Amino acid sequence: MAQESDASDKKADTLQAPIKYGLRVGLDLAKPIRTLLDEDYSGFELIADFNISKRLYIAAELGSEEKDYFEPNLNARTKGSYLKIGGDFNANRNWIGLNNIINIGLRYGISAFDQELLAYNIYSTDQTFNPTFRTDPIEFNGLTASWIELIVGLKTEVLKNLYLSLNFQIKHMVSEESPDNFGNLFVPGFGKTNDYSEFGAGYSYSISYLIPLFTK
Amino acid sequence: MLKKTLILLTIIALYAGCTRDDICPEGTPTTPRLIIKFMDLSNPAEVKYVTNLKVALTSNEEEEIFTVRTDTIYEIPLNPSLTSVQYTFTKDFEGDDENSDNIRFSYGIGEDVYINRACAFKTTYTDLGAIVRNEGAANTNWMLNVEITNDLIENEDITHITVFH
Repeated sequence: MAQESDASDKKADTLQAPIKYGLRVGLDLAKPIRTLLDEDYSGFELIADFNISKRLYIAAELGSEEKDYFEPNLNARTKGSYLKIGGDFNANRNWIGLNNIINIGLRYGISAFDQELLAYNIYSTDQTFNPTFRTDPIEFNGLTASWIELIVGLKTEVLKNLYLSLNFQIKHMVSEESPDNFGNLFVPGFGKTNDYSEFGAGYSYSISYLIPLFTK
Repeated sequence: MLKKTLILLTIIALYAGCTRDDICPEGTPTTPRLIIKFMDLSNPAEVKYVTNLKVALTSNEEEEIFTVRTDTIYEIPLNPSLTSVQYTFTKDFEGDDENSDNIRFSYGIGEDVYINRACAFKTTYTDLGAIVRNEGAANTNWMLNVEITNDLIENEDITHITVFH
């Protein structure tokens, strides 16, 4: 009887997969794909995380983005890089042989970027005259912004130590240095800004490799 | 907990993604028009109505252009691509006392001011001037005195030109 009980205890233990500890590094695939498909965009992002306990990870993303804004009224270009640092919480309990992660994360993001106003329309409600365009480019350098970000995502181990992950991000602007007599239309890492709201949204589809250090 | 978070995130994402900011909202102060007020020459403190006023570009007298704000205050667009524009003001249009005067507004282009993503920029005008073409010996002008009330056109809240007739 005692032996049986022992065995079932062990069985219960082994149902829970051991946690692999290590440094996971990777690349966002969504940004290079968008770079190929969208002529007004180019960007890339490196990702990394490291678990500090069974369910908690320190995580960071480092990236660079360039976005053209070509609308009838306004032509502008934004270019810069960003860093996001924070933590992830794994809300999933894994069965043996599986190493999937349901991820809830929080980040603080900072961005340094330049903006170039290429051309603009003088807006008038009156249609008497043909529209007036000004086409002398104006450069705004050394702009900065910071934001907080909530992430929900999934990570799946598709091959040993190789992960694919998909996540969605909701961002809220914390601080923003806008150019004189112009606005930040896009902030690298934050994405498109909105004139009437401090919220932004994003997504990422990444591939990453876990460099295992130890299993516990 | 996760379900609730996901639902909340979806709502915020939809809200953030769908907030319209690509259409310039009506009523946004954009490039100001010239505000003209008509006053009585014989009694300069009183406004005076112009019977059947027609305003058109001198280059295209077919098309009437102006916005009547009140009986005695009119809004007229300036051209931000140029520094002067010529208008023909006809009073008692198609009436017995029909009389056309030719007026030339000259101005400098002031600073272009950023409004927002959808409206882009507005401009302002400086050093406003106005000259009525003198119709000579016959002296049939009906715009007898034109006064620059404000030579800076930054908004449509104040009168820029006062015409006495």
